[in-house]
Amino acid sequence: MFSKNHYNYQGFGLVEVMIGVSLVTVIGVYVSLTVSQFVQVRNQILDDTKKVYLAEEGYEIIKLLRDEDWNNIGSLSLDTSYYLQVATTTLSIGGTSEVIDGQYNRSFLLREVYRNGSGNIVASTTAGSTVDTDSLNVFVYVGDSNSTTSMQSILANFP
Amino acid sequence: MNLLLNKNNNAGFTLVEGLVYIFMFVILSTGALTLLFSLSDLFVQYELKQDVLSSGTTAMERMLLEIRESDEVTLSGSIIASSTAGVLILENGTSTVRIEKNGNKLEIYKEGVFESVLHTSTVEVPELTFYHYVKDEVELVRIHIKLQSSSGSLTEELDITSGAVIRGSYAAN
Repeated sequence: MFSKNHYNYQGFGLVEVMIGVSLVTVIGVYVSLTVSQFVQVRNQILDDTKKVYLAEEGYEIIKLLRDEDWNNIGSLSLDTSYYLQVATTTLSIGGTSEVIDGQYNRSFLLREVYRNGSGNIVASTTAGSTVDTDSLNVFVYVGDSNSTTSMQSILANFP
Repeated sequence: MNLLLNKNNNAGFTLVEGLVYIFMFVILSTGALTLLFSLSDLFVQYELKQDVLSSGTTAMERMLLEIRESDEVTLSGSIIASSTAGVLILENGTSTVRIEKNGNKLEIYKEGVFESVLHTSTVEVPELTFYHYVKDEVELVRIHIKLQSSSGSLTEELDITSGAVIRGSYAAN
């Protein structure tokens, strides 16, 4: 094919050039949309990473309060949002949200833990399950104006 | 089809046809070139984001680990609540760990000896702030770190805040 073209001095027609440029444009649009989606996903990961670190800090404070006295968390109402108060000499649970880095709000809530006859954690809907009064499900939420990220863990009352 | 057939037609293109073709060619070429340039920027942006994220998580995990493993914060020598010159000195049994912002680098020293920079060479740390909270002798250290990575005119920044309870103070309580 190349040897044939060697003797063809007509070159490319405008239509051929335009088809070529159009193809490059279309391919470019698709590739750029794909990369743009990668960047968006990366933005989401960056945002989630920040929130997960704040949630981790919140969980650490709740765990500290649990170790201080189980009643610090055991006496709280279930399914109710609580906030952590962090100040120079205060690490406590309070009524208003601390705004971190000027944009993040952190809250947590507690739910019951259900166990079956063998002591394994099961769903509340499982037949025969009972509430474990010495364990609590902790959900820490960190949110900004766009979205909220949460982490969940179980805290137990070690005598 | 007529356009294709015109290739073998010695009559050539009319002025209007020529102008229309040139106009369309310029539009499509400009679009294609713009896309290629923006695509290149997107790739760089992606790379920069990846750079600050991996450096940020590595540095934060290492600092939180050192805090958790320590017994107490040595306030004398530590610089608390300063974003431009954050220094944290931790005592762990008989050893001392010093984490500090040196220029735009985040460095860790053990027993006064430089150990490593906690991020890649392409990342800078313009801000590092330590906060210290104490409740009934239990200490919590909060870290705020800002990382920055640049390439040409493109810059990506990442702010991360987290904290950890000092296990030594925790156990002592």
